[in-house]
Amino acid sequence: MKKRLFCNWVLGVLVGTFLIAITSPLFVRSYSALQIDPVRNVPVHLRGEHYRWRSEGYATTRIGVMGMPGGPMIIPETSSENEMRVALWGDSQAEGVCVADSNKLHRQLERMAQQAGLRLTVFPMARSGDDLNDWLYQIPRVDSKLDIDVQLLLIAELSDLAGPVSGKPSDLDLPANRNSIAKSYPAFLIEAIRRIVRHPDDTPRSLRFGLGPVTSIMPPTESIRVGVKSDWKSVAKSIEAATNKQVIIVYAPNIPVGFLVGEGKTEVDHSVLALKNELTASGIGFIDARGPLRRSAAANRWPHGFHNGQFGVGHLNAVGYEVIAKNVVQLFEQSDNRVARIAD
Amino acid sequence: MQFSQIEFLIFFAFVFVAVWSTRKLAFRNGLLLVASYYFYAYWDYRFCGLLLLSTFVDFSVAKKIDAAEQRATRLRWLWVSVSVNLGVLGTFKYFNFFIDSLSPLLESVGWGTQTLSVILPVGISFYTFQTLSYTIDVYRGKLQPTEKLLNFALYVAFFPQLVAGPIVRARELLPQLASVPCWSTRRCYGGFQLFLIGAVKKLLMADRLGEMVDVVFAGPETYAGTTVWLAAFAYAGQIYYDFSGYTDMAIGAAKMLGYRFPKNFRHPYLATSFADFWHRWHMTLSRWLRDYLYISLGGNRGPRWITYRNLMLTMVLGGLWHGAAWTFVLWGAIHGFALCVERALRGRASLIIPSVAKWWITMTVVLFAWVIFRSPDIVTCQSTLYQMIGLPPGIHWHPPLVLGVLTCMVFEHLAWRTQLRRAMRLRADAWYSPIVTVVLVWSLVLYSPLGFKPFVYFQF
Repeated sequence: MKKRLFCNWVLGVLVGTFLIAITSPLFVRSYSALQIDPVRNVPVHLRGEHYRWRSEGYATTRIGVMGMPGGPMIIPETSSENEMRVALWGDSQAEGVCVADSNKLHRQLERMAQQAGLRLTVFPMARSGDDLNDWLYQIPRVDSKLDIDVQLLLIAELSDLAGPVSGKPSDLDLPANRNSIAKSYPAFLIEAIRRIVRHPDDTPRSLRFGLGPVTSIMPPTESIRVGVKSDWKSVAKSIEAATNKQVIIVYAPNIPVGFLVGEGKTEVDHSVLALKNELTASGIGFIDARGPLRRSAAANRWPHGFHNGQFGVGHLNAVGYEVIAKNVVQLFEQSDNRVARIAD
Repeated sequence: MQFSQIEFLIFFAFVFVAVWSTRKLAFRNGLLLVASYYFYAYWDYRFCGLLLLSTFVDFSVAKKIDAAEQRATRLRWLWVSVSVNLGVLGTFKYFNFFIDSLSPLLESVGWGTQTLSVILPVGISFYTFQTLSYTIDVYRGKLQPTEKLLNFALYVAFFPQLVAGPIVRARELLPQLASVPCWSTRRCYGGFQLFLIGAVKKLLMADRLGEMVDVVFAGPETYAGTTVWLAAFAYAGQIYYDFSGYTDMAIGAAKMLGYRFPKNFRHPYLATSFADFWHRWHMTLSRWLRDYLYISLGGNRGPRWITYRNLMLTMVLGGLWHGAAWTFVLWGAIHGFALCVERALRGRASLIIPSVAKWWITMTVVLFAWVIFRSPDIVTCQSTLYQMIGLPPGIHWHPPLVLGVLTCMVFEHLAWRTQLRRAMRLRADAWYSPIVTVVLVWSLVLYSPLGFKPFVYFQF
């Protein structure tokens, strides 16, 4: 009897785990291998891989050449006469892995531009966790290789742009063991272990067995209402130094509920104004997408997903990208720089 | 330390192995007592003194009551116990509330007011009621006081029920602590399954619902009426699964250690009357209120209005027990009023209401009462109710996950009424038990929301 019970449980454990394994792709994100891209010289996802995101958005992204999420599989050698080439930089907010490829920002930009009579090719270069130093490192490498006309930077947090400028990206090497783990183990197992040994913010989990009380030490995070003090002039100069192409920066922060019910001027407003002044003085375009995003949310077209059901911490969704794309294309239409129109 | 923390699982594993490694009663109880005080001190060691105070006072007072010959003397000693326990509770939990509430009145007559800078010791409402039940039972002659301080101290501080119940009576637990329980694999398995089910209720259901509830109740005026309705349903689900999940984990942990706790929930959202609801919701609190408050006030002996008064008083004080805020008082008053109306209508042959209608009426009132209970203040409560009743425009937000969990809740309640109820116990020899168990364990690890969320009832 005991032997039978034991066998029943061993079998049950295997069947239960199998059930989880086969259903997990519906609910668990993927962990894919990385490689150092020879042009960008930073770790990127492998071309042709499918990257799953299962949180505020349920999308599977096909990785293109040079690790471009949802990007082309091969790069057209030279740009045609009427074509304007844009490199899209940013962090996970611009990467758009929570949105289907057809709704990613670069695709929406291309679509809207076409409707406006512009011919745009956008290369999605954003990587999760990137900031100013990563972009400044990669921009010169990509500039000539892809024959870029405009560098478009999407930032959700001012701190990502605030520097200090070191000229070195956050990751030059492949994370140790990452590829072998990603290749050897199923995603649900990696996710389970990660959840046990790491905190939600990805720092190593530390267990406490000492007596209380404990004064909670919160990691420093940028508050949406607190501004960022930075030397915006040197930021603008370093961007200028990195490329001689036109640069446009889009500021599209998360929209918390407080913004909807209306608030007075915050410190962020002062920081954004200071940044805008410095950028425009240096000839860098600036789009403040807060207003359009806020209006979209107020009209029940919420521009962000709800990461773990929370407001203000989700990535931009298809609506958010649409709002941003519209504003960017409007700027292209208005500007008198090298914007080619499709010949009639 | 919370049952849903990894630290607790490690702590419990040590305690489990240690207590089952010994057959000596004193050593076993001593070990459990040390573990219980560590469990409490993990939150804040400074409040262990309150536990000790409550333990020593009630242990001594019970002996005095038992030794006293005259009723007046016994009653005097009982008042000592009641005064000390309620004094501590009042100071830490209610002093600031009453001062804040009375300050306009006091200041109008020239009396300055000042609040205390204290935090609410976790679990104080629960262990105060437990120790009070001990002295009252001894006073009523229903229980012989224990001679062993160690056993009594363990009864007060026993970690599975220390911070959020169930409110175990001395006559339920003290006899169990008087001998070493026999090892039973079957009981241990049952305890593990209960603990697991409790964790699923808390982490996969309550916490998921709580994500929406917290956001919507923080600014209900921003949202459309349907969203606020959904949040109200979500809160009804959250508080049930959070608290019953905690209770299941507590009962399960105690069971694994060889002790039996009373049930605390019996699918309250199946209740077809308010009396039925209180026989299903937080059962250990409702029987405490019935036996030590309602009956002490006179119960249903006497004219009808006395019964109604007693019901109202019991429920209002029951509401206040949950927290020092007018929303809790109002919540208790609504339940008290509903119980009075129900009693007044009971037995009227002319009033035959179908069970479904009774269920619907009960649940509607319970739901509105939950909205009041959840609201941080009366003003937020008003705006929430306005959004629900007035249905003004606002943000429409209907998270699929919340709808999914609420659907699970409906099915779980319906299944409990059928033959599936037996299957849901996951007997060890049932073929599906290992599969379901493993799927649940994996799901807890993979699909519970990220971040630490305390149990709702810890604040009471």
